[in-house]
Amino acid sequence: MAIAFDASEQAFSGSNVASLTTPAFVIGGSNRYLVAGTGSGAGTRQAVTAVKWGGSGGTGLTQQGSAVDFSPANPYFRTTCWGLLAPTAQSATLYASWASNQDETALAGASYTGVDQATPTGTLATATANLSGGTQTPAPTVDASTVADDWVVDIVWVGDTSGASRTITAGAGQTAREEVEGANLVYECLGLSDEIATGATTTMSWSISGSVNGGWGMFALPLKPVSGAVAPKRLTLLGVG
Amino acid sequence: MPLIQTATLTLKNYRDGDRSAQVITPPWARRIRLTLQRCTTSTPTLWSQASTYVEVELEASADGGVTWRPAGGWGAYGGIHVRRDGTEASSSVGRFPCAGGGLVRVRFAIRNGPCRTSGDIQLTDG
Repeated sequence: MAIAFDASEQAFSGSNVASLTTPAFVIGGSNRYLVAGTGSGAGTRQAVTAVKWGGSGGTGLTQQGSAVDFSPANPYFRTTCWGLLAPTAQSATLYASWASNQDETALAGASYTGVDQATPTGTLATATANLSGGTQTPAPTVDASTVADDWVVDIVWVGDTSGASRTITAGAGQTAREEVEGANLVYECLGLSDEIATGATTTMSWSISGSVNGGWGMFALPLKPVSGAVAPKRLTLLGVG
Repeated sequence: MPLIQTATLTLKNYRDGDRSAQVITPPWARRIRLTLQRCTTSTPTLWSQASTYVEVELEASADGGVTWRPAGGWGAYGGIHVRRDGTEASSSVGRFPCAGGGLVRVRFAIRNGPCRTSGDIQLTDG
């Protein structure tokens, strides 16, 4: 069984909260893995204290990576990437909490089936860019080390102190699962997408609708298919007949 | 012109505990916005304690209230929150998708209260 997308959901606030809960969504299927990404912006940026599947009393995800210094002249933005092996198959909510109120917050999660339960992920790739000190046009990009048939899930968080309500578009070959952007969150954009790897390097990228004054942080997490579940190879029979 | 329907949450002192409000969502409703007023220098009696935590949870029903499905939520601490531009935040707000033609139940849970505040539940068509 190859990896397949299962379900996704998002939540966001542009106004001063310390936790978010998504609407309920259903995770099902076998060999499951849940990926989540958070983003926040505040004068005093705070760490995410927990991301849980099943609401505030649910099962905690494990933090895979954090990016906090991608905008040193505008040190307001923070993003994290989280994962959970074998999330309980159920209809439930995804929950994230911060240590204190943040100006803006966002949360997105996506579940996948057909993920190897012994070695579910490859190496997390992280990239950041400082685009402060004047508006610049960013191009969030990160390269993940992969093998063919991995599914690469990426999280991007763009911070823009100009509050220009930018929108984001996933790169060619990627399937956007969740986007928080535009008027919904005028100072930031959050994106979650995936792509099936075809070689040793998979480049995940996003384009932004215009220049920003801030920066971006980005993660790419390769998911490994269940062993032996690669796409069938074509066989050539020789000397038959 | 966008369609908007607002239910107001009365300004008063709310003690610790859970309370809920239920609204009928008109067929055109697509989004629900949950707002609570915060403490600022000019409104010092509102939600004034930094330790007071308010959790707002949304549930939706498409069968007249027989079954309910979690539909999003947020939580926030009280006290004055200074945003990065130096202004004081006057409210905490969350916005979630909403299916029209059903029921929505909003649960407010207050911990380490009491909490004096007001707010609203606003339905919009986009």
